[in-house]
Amino acid sequence: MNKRLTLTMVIAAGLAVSACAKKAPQVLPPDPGPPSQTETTVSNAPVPGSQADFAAQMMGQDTIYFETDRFNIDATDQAALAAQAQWLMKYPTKRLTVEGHADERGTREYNLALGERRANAAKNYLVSLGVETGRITTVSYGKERPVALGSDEESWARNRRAVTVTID
Amino acid sequence: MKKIIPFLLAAVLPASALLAQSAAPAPAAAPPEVEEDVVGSLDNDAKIAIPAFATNADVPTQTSAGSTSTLGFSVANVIFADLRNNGLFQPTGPSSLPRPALAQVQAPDYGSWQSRGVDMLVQGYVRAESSGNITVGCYLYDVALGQQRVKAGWTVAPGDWRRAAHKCADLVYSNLSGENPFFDSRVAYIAETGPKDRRMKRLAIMDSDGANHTFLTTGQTIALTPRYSPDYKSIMYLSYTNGQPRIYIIDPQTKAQRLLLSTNNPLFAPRWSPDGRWVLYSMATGGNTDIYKIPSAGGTPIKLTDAPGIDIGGSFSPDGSKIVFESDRSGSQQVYVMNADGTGQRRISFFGGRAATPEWSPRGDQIAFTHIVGNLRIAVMDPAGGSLRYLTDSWQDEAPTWAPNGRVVQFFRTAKTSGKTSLWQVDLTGRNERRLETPVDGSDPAWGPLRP
Amino acid sequence: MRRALSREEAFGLGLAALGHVALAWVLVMAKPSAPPPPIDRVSVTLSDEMGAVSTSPNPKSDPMADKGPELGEPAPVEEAAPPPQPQAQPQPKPQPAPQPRVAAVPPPKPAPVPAPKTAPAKPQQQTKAAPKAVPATKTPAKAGASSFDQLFAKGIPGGSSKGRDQTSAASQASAQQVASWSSSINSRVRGPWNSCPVNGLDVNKLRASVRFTLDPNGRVQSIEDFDVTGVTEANRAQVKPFKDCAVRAIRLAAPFAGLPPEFHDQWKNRRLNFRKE
Repeated sequence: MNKRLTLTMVIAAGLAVSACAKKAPQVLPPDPGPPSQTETTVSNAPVPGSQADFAAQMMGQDTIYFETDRFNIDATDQAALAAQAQWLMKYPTKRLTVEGHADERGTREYNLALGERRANAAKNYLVSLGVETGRITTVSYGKERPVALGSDEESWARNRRAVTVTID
Repeated sequence: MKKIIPFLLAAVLPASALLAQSAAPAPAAAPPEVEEDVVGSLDNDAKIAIPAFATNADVPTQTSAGSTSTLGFSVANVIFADLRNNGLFQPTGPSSLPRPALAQVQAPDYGSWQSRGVDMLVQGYVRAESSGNITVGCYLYDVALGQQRVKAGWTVAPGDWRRAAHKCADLVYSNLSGENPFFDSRVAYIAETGPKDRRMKRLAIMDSDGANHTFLTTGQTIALTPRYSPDYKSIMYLSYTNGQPRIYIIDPQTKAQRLLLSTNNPLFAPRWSPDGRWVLYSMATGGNTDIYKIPSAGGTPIKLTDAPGIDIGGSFSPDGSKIVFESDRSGSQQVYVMNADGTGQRRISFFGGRAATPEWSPRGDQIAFTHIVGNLRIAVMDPAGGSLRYLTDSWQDEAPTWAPNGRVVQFFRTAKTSGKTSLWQVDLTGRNERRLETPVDGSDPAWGPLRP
Repeated sequence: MRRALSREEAFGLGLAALGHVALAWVLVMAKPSAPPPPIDRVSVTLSDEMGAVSTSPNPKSDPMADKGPELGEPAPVEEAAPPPQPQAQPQPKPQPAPQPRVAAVPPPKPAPVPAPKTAPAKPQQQTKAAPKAVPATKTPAKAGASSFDQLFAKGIPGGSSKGRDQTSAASQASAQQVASWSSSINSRVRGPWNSCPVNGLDVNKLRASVRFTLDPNGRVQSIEDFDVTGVTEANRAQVKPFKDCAVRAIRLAAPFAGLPPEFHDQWKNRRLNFRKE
């Protein structure tokens, strides 16, 4: 009987106190503003340091292109790889794979080796820009995974590529 | 004047008498030999008849072909399809011919076949043994001459009844053509389905005529460039099972697989030596690809090439002493030959364009390859790089593989834009180009040797 | 003013008039001269195939039977009268040259090589049937035979009923006859040669030269010699089937009917050069 009374008085006191606590502040907190990018329930923005972030940031420069049977890194390729390296430096634990590809207008096994050669050329350039070599693996898909589906010069040019893919 | 005329006559008359005498019959010289040319056509029209095989008793069998009576019909049909597809003959099959009785198999009714205009006749019988095995007897007759040319028989397990039919077709083919047989053999290839940018590729095997087809992988990862071992007990192929291209050896019976060798480098282009004791593979290090040799049972790899660039592939000569391979060390893909120990490397393709995927014929006298001048075409040359001949002329044909007798070639054709692939066959004279029937699209065919 | 004729002028005028009258009389009254006698017709053989040996018939032989001329395309020289014993037919000889040459010298049908898909089947069937010459479809009746020809086919009534020289009096066969025998043998061999399959790389380079002899009945007596040339690494395996097909073709084409036994010596030794292209 005494315990129940005490409990009721404590609760009543707590309620009174909490009621007091809720006072309209004199200074309003600042407006929260637009929803921040990190709130995934609200927006589709990639997490910084993810592959999606990398692809979005690169805006196409995650892929470099080659001439027929060639694997050299030209000026455009150098700029793209520099952009890649810059991102990669921000996330030094991020591993990545460079995929090498070839167009359909060649024989299968040679194209596998050629894709490997292109991937390796891109990797070497990234390493020369400071990306640690242990982070990079290469894989060749030869002519097995085209992105452009036509049988014309434009499609073939788009398929002769090395694509950098970070590993989440 | 008047005196001269009689004198002239007197002189001429004896001369003409002499002439007459020299023209008299019974010449002293030997009877003359008369020579003539007989010119025939290579488009020969030899008519060969293959009626249904007879049987001593129509009993059920454990084969897929039903009772011995139906089996006799099916055996003849397999032989008929082999010879028709080969293009050397104009065969007529069991569906269009009367069925001989068993007694006629060894004593043909020549007159009746002659009246049908038949030149050669294939007859035979099938017999079910108490063990369940099947015995097939095969007889080839020259109808015009009225005599037997050759005969043979085989006893096979019921599941191998088609092999007995291929053996009979091989007997007929080699007896008439002088060539070695090739019908009793198997082919490994890659079965393809799906969209062009995400093809599903599965390892598959079948008989040389497309029968007994089996898928060996699920297609979850890319499978490429298979090769049957010479004893048919294994198939080497390229797989991306762990995300990287590696060479696996699979047992076609159990489907158990093992790695050829463990490495951190990508591997391509597995090859067997003709005796099965060696394996060639190509490995890329730092972007540079070279050809290695390793005992098929395992052991220390031997590096065969080290030129900067891509050296890849490799095909042994039938005696195992030389290897033909492709290399871009000159600046573009070309064909090279070296000794089996890697010495004596020299280029043999000087045709312009690029030359790739060289394969040494099992007969040793030809090298098949892909010639790239804009389009990709199947071509052959002699081992010194001369006598270039094209076998096909299409947008993209590549990767020739030889029949066991070195007289027929299979390859795969890619269609422009759609990228759909199909298996094709053509003989060494460039004739009889025909598409092979496969359940879905197909590429990378690899023809195994003649089965013993 | 009219001048009178002088005496000389009058005389001359009269003479001239007389001359004109005489001329006119001669012209009118002259008889036409008898027509020139007809030129004897002699048949001429326009041939550039000059045999070194005279093959013309004996001029002293009895004349031919007085039969009507045989119009229309003559039967080929090798086709005998139906009885199986063939005899040389002297009848085509007196005829103008071009006809027997057309029949004998060029190889008879089937000349276009890819064409005869069905033709070779026929000679094979006929080898087992009664032996016939190759253009077996030709009947003895001549194409252009007229009723006149048929009336006199048996000869002029009252004329000599038969020439006594039925067989050629020539002692040696003409070049035309020899050529006709060769083309006959050749065409019979070509059918079975075509239907014997040999194929492969460089088969078109193979040449098989087969020497054989025939007996007087046209049967193969022996096959004596065999020479195969054009062998390369690529076609070596086809040499045996090539030879076998050549021998088979000769055996199936024999016996060769229509070869005159009296000239056996001149056609018994033969050499055939086989190829496929």
